[in-house]
Amino acid sequence: MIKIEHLSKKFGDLVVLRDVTIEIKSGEVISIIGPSGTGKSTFLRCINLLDRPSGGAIHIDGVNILDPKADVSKIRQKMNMVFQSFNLFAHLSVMENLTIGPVKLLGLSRSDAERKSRDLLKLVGLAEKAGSYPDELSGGQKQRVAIARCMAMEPRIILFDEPTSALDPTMVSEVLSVIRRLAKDGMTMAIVTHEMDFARDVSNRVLYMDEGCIYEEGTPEEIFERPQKEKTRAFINRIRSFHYHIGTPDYDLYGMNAEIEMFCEKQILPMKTRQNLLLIVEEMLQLYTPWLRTAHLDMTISYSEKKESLEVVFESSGSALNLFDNAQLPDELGLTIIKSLTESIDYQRLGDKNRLLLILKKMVK
Amino acid sequence: MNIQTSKESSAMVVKVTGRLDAVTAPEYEQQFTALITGGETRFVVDFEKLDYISSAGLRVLLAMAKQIKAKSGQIHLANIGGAVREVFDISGFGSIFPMHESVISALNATAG
Amino acid sequence: MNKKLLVVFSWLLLVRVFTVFICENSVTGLPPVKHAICTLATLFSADAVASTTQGKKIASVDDLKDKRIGVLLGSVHDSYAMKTFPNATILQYKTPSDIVLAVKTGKVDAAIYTYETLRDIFRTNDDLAILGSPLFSVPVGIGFNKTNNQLREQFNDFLRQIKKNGIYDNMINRWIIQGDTSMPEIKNSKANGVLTVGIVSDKGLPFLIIKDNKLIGLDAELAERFAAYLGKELKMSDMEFGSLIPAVVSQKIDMISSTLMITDERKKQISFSDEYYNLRASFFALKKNIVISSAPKSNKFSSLEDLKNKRFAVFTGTVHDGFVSRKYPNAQLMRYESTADMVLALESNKVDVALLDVITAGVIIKHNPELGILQEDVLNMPLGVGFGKNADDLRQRFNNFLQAIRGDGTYDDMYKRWCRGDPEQVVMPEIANGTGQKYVLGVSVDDLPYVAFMNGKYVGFDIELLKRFAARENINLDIVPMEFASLVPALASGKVDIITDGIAISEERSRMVDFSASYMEFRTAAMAMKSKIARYDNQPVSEIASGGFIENTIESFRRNIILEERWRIILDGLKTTVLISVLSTLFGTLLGSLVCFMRMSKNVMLSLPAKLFISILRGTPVLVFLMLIFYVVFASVNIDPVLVAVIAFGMNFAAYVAEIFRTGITSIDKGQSEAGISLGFSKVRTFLYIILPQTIQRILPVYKGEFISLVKMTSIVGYIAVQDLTKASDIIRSRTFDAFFPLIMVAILYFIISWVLMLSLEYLERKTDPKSKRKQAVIA
Repeated sequence: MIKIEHLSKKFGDLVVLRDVTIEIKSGEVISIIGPSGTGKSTFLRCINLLDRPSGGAIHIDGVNILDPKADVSKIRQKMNMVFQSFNLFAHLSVMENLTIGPVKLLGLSRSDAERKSRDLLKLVGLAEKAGSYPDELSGGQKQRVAIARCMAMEPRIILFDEPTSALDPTMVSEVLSVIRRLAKDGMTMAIVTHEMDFARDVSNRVLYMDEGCIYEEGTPEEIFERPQKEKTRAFINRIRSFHYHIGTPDYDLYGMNAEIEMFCEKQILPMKTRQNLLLIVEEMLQLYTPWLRTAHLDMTISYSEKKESLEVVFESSGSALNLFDNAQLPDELGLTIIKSLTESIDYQRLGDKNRLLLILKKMVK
Repeated sequence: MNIQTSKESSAMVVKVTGRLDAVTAPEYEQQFTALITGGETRFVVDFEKLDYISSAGLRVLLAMAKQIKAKSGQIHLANIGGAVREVFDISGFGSIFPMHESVISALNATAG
Repeated sequence: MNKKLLVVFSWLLLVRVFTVFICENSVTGLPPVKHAICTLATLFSADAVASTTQGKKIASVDDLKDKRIGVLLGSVHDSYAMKTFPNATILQYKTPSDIVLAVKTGKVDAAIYTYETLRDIFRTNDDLAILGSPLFSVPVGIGFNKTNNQLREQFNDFLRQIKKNGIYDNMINRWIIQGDTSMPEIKNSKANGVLTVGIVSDKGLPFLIIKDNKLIGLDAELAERFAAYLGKELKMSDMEFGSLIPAVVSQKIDMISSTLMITDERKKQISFSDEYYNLRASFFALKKNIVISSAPKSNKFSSLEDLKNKRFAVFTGTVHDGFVSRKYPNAQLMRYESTADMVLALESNKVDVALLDVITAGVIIKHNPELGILQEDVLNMPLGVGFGKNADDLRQRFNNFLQAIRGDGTYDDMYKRWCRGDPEQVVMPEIANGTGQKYVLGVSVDDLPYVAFMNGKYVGFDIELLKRFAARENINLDIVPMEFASLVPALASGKVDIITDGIAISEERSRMVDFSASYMEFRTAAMAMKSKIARYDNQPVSEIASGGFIENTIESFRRNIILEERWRIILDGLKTTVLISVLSTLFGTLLGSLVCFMRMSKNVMLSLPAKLFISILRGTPVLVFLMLIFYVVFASVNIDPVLVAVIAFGMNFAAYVAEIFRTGITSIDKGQSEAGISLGFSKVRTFLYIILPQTIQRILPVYKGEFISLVKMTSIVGYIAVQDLTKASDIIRSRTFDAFFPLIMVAILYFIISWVLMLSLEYLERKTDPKSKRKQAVIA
């Protein structure tokens, strides 16, 4: 349905989109993820010409919308956008927000428009708010109205530009459930989002954008579980990992613990797991203490929800050193604890770094 | 930081609270040693309020036990549970120290 | 050393003898040479004597408590001194001149005498000065025999009459304030017998003195006038002060006219008329014996000289402007547009003195008794009628006309009617307008006797003059009122053909305007608050009709609104103000929208002119802009000034509206228009349906404010000769000189206009606020 070829966009001298080529078929749900500032929103806004592309072509149902003769307004009517900041018309009631497009653009009669709008409001669960004004609604409600407003125009595709980024975590789910519903009903959608779980759940395809183009694309499994390219992996991991650098033997154990606890909370890890993690980290660092005067230590904790596994990587600089060579340990205590809490301990010498990978034992529920 | 101690007829009851880790261990060790040097020989260590113990903490207990043994004293542990219990189990410390369900039974043990 | 001392001593002795010989007689009234020598001599002798006996200077009246004090024998000063300074040495003298001599020669340290007389004495003896503040004031009256009630009542009636018709004020002004010494001619039928008046002939000016064998002074004139009033021949009986009362008691004289102080003691023996003046008593002494304290000098004015560094009010664009700047360069000059404004300024102490035509001043003082003349004949100038530079023919015709009416007595008759009597009472003769060529006459309307607007007609000397001219030459004269300051520009730009309003011919004006021959001389008087003018000191305050507040308000209302159908003027002004306000707003809003659109365009060709327009219009004062448009842009174009006002105000309003719109639009979140566009609306439709409604909602409060400002701004259209509400109040004020009532009333009317218009805007606001419908539904 939408064919995009070699799309590029410059703001002055700043190149935001270099070369984007993608096809979106009818009924597809595409999630676009990636670090901030890599042009995800710009890409979306170029599709409905809110921003004018600098180069390339966009064909919608065979029509090149970049053609100066194209009736852009008409095209936009079939391609609606849901914004991060909702953008409901402040001077109109909810009902009027929904009906203004159909009445003035599609030529529906007021009563028809209102009837359809009421149904849509029911769909998003806001039928009783028909007479309210935007400033009387919560963020989640506003966004749902915005989605209903889009749907009132009976679009072929809805573009979502970070629909939940401005929402309180408690309101995110109500909006996501509406979008899920739309996906189930077969609406073609392109969603720029940071909600990784959601993206994985609801999309057919995931695009990872970086370096001004579609860096990697694939199914949700492919991208989230087995990212191939380096940056993709780094991104996916970064979402799921915690990094800490220990430079001296006088590191702040408690400060680090606090950060680890925060990370655990984000990943919603059970208390047991948390405690074990903290214990392992402390024990490991104790083992490293003699070397901390001369070497640096980088610790990375990564969590995979799917696999429900937690892994900790310790990378230290310095000469080749494997902590677990028995000869170098003061006593068995620490080692025993560590060994009993981990599934595997792997040592690797990578370049000039020593790398220890510990995988924690899975917790029994 | 002070450990709570209460002198009972048969032993000195010592309460450990919060964490016994690499950061807190040295302090605990200092205070235990002081008590032992002070003449106490029978100890009951109450773990009810302890949330966390690491190898550092275990070492402190071991050191304390060695000193008490040299003085022919006794050391019993009480109220060990939860995560702390597991660590004891993993490390095998469960077999080194006599462990009791409550302070009272530990005291009885020291008396008898 | 000794030799020198001897020489000095003998010299001093010689001078002393000389002094006594020469200066024995009255000090005042000496021929100048004698007086000069006398003064010099006294300086030497008194100095020597005075300072050797004195040693210390006198700082205040208290210092005198053990000194030597001179008084007039048997006078109130006498008893006062006795009572108040029991430890001092009181020396009594028979005549005033003796007292003065005593002070000068150091016989007494200080003396008490009448303040008013002292001022006169000081005019010729500036080695003397007042010590301290006036001690007390005593009313003076005419003394009558106790049984002679009839004569007394007659005098009281006479007194009332001369107070009413201004003669009294005039007398006070001449004798006391100006120090004038000429007795006016007073006609007397002398048919009813003789009036004997007892006087003390060397009481001293300003009251009574002999000069050139005649008795002159205030008392003398009073007596003469009263005699004339009775129709009796006046016989003055000169006597010692102490003999006056016995004389009237024994009926040797009919009355005492000698500024006799009314005291209870005297009332036992004689009866007094109503008091006709308040005399003050003061200590005086040799200047050099008085410590010049830092006590504030009396800051009352006795002549224009006293004002040389004070605040002057003059008419804008008059010759007084240049006159004051030249003559009193240190004075502060404030320019006013109308006499009524000047009066207001004087009364609210914004200026100290106002310069204006003497006849006009007379009219004003009649209505405002708290004002008085400080000085007449400040400046005399010829008046002329102004003609445009190219109207030589017309001007010649006028000069011929002027010559003709001077010859046939019409001029004299006009002059007598308008300028001699009370111009407000003059009836304007009916003169038919000519039917020939049309000429426009520009006038300013608040200067009697020259031009005024009364009973819906133009009246005044100038008006009658020009109307007669028009009738004689068969000219169709159209009279247009404007601000005085606008007269010359209007003539220069061809908006009017002739101007007149008591305009003085000056060199500067002659460059812009061709004047006719002079048709009158005008005299400038200086007018100020009586309370500040020295010669009005201690006058009994004229009775201003002090009714209650309500009565005053009702009277004000009647005078300002009902009288002469003045309410019509107000109604017309009101209509004009509303018309200009509404049209300017509409024009301004539309123009402003256009400018806003241009300003927000990305095209420099559009945005630059818009930006320029906005900054020029906002940076120029509206009045200046208005006059520019009228007198420069539309010069020589025959255009209705109301239209010009609408254009000027509209443009000004547009500049503000443009910016208001722009800020309103830019304050709308960009997301609103993005949502509209992505929904499929075109840019224009997005603006119309989404942005504009929200903008209007936002800017309405500010817009309301600017609109009200506009309404009030229209009050300046008087400058381009549009008669609006403010001008209406000016016209009324110029007639009633009532400063406050017309102003307050007009302020109230402006407020009502603003309020009504505000209500309508608020109605609009409610209609465009979507939520209001709901709020009403909820309430209902």
